[in-house]
Amino acid sequence: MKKIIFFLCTTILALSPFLPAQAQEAMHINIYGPGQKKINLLVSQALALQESGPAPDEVRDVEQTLYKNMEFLPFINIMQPEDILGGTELDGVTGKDIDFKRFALSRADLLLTLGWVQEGAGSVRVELRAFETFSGKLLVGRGYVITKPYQTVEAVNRFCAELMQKLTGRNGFFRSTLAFVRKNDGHKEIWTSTPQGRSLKQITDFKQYCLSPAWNWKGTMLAGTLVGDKKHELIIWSKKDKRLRRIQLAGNTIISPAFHPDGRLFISIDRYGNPDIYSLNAEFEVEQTEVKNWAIDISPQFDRKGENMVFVSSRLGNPHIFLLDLRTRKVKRISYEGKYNTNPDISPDGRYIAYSRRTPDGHRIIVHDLKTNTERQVTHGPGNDEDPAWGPDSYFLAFSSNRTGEYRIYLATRQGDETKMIPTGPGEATAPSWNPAVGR
Amino acid sequence: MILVFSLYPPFQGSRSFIDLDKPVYEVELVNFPQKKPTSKAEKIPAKAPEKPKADTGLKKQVQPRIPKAPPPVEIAQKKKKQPAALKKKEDKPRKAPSTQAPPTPEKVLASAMADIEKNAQPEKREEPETPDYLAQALSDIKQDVKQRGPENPGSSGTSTRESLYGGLVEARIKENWRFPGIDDTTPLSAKVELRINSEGKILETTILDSSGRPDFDRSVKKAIAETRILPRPYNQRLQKIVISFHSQEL
Repeated sequence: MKKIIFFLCTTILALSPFLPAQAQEAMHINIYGPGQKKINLLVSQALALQESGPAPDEVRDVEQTLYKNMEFLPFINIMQPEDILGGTELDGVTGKDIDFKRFALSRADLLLTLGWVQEGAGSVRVELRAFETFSGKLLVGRGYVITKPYQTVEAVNRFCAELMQKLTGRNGFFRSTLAFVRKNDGHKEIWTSTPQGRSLKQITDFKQYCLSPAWNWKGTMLAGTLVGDKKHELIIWSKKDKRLRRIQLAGNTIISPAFHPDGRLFISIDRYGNPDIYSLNAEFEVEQTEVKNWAIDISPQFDRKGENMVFVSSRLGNPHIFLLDLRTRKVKRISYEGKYNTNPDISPDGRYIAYSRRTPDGHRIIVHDLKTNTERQVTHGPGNDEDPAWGPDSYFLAFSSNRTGEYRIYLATRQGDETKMIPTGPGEATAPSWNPAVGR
Repeated sequence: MILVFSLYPPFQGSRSFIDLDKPVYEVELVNFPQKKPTSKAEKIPAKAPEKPKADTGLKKQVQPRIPKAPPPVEIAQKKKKQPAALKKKEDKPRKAPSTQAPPTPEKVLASAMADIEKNAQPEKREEPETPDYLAQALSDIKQDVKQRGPENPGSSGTSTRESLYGGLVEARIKENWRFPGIDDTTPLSAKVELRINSEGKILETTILDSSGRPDFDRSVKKAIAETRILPRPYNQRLQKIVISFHSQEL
C-alpha cells in the first residue's frame, strides 16, 4: 500500500510540469479604422553608384520632381531627414545594402532610394526604388536613362504611377492630362497641363471667350464653346493633327458639351428657344433629343459605361442635379439640399456624383454616393468652389476656386482630404476637365 | 569562513553580479551608414528646416541618454517643405544660443533631467504606474466605454475591467496603425492573435485570418510590432488577445 501511494505521488510530481497550472484566458478586440490614414515616406539622399564628380542637374531635377509628386498625394506624409536615426545617407540603394531597422524604428513606412550613374556627356542613368521598411520588400524598382530635360519628369511620373498603383490599385493621377480655361489679356482660352501643373500648353488662340473644355473618352479630342459676338460656336480640337474646327449649330447658345463613351457628343442648345440636351453624330450634326423640358436642362456628364447621364435642370424651380438612366429613360433626382446645385460630374466608375452647391458661405463641392445614397461636403472654401471634375481613378477631384481672391484650379479627393493648388501659370483658371484616358 | 570563500570566489570565471532591483532596458541595434571620404554627390536633399528651439546645446548633452525616437509633437509641427527651398538656410552652421561661461556639469545634468521630464512620453515603461495615473486612465476609458454603449463590440465579456483593458489595448495599437485611406469602398479585415506575458509585452503575433491584401496584413503586423508592449494585464491569466482589424471606421 505504501508502495502504491509512493508510486502515485511520484507520478503526479513527475507529470505536474506538463499539466496546465491555470486555464489561459483570451480576450477579443475590434479595431475600426487605422489611427493614421497617412503613411510615412522618406526620400533618401541621391547616391552615386560609381566614382564620379558632383551630381548632375538631371539628378537634382529627379529628386525635386519626386518630392513634388509625393506632396500631391494626401495619403503620404513626407518625413524630414532629422526624423531618421542616423540621417538619410545610405551605403547603397539596393535592399541588401540597407539596414531597414533604423528606418522602421523611425516610423518610416516607405523608403525611396535614388542612385545615379553618369553615362557619358548628357546621359545619366537613374535608378529609383521604393522599399517597404517593415519587411524590407522592394515595391517598385526602375531604371531610366535621361538624355533630355523633359525625360526627367516623364521618368519620375512613370515611377510614381507604378508606386501609386502598388499602394492603391490606381495610377491615373501621374499619367493623365487636365484641360481648363485660362484668362489672359481679357480673353479666355483653353489650356492643358498635367495634374501636377507641368507641360502647360495653349490649345486655342481665338482671342475671344473659349469655355467648357471636354475630353472624349479616348483622349484624342477636346470640345469647347466659343462665345462669339452674336452666337455661340462649337469648337473641336484634334490631338492628332492639332486641328481646330468651328461648328455652328441651331440656336444661339451652346452650353457644356460632353462626350459619351461611344463617341457621340452631347450638348445643350436652345434650338427652340429653351436649352435642352441633344446628342450629335460623328459629323457633329444634331441627331437626337435626349432631354427636353419646359425648364433649362444643361451640363450632361457620363460614367465610363455610358449607362447614366447626370445633368442640371431647373424643372423644380431651382437648379438641381438629376440622373438619367439612358437605358430605361428614368430620371432620378439627386440633390435635395440647397437651392442652387450645378456643375455635376459623375465618377468614371459610376458610383459618385460631384457637384457644386451654393451655401451661405459660398459654393462648396458635394460628393453624392449613389450606392449608399449619402453625400459629403469635400471642400470648405473660403470663397467659391465650383466646376468639379473627376480624375480617371474616381478618387481625385479637380475644381476651381477663388479662395485666394483669384480663380485657380485645385485638387481635392472624394474623402475631403486637404486641397492642393495646381500651378497653371498667370491668369485666372477655371472649368477643369480631366482626360479619362490614362497615359494619353 | 575560509571554506565558504573558496567555494564562492568573488571573481570566478565570468560570473558577474546582477542587481535585480534595477530596471532592464531593451535596445535595438542598428547600423549607421559609414561616412565616405570623398564628396561624390552634394547633399541635395539635406535641406531640413531649422529647429525652432534654441536649446540645441542642451539637446546635444542629452542625446546619449534619450533614445532618439521622434517625438510626435515635433513631427506634427514640421511643415512639408521642399528641400531646395531650404538649401540656403541649411548652409549656416548652428550657433550657440548664448556667449555665457560654459555651464558646470551639475547644471548640465540638472537641465538635462528637466528636459527629460518635460519630454518624457506617457507610455515610457520605466515610469511606474502611480495610482493617480492609473485612475486617470481608467476614468478616460470608462467615459469612452459609456459613449459606446452596451453593444460595444470591443468588449467580449461583462467585466468592466476587461472592457477598460480592451479599450486601452485598442487605443495603444491603433495609434501605431498607419494605412493609406484611399480606398473606402472595399472593406478589409484581418484577425490577429497576440500572445503576451504578465507585463504586457507582446511575445508573438499570428495572423489567424488574412484580409487577402498583403499590404493590409503587413500594416497590421507593423502596428503590433511598433507597439511592442501593452498595458499590464488586469488578470495574470490573460495571455492571449485576438484583435480584428477593420479598414473602415464604424
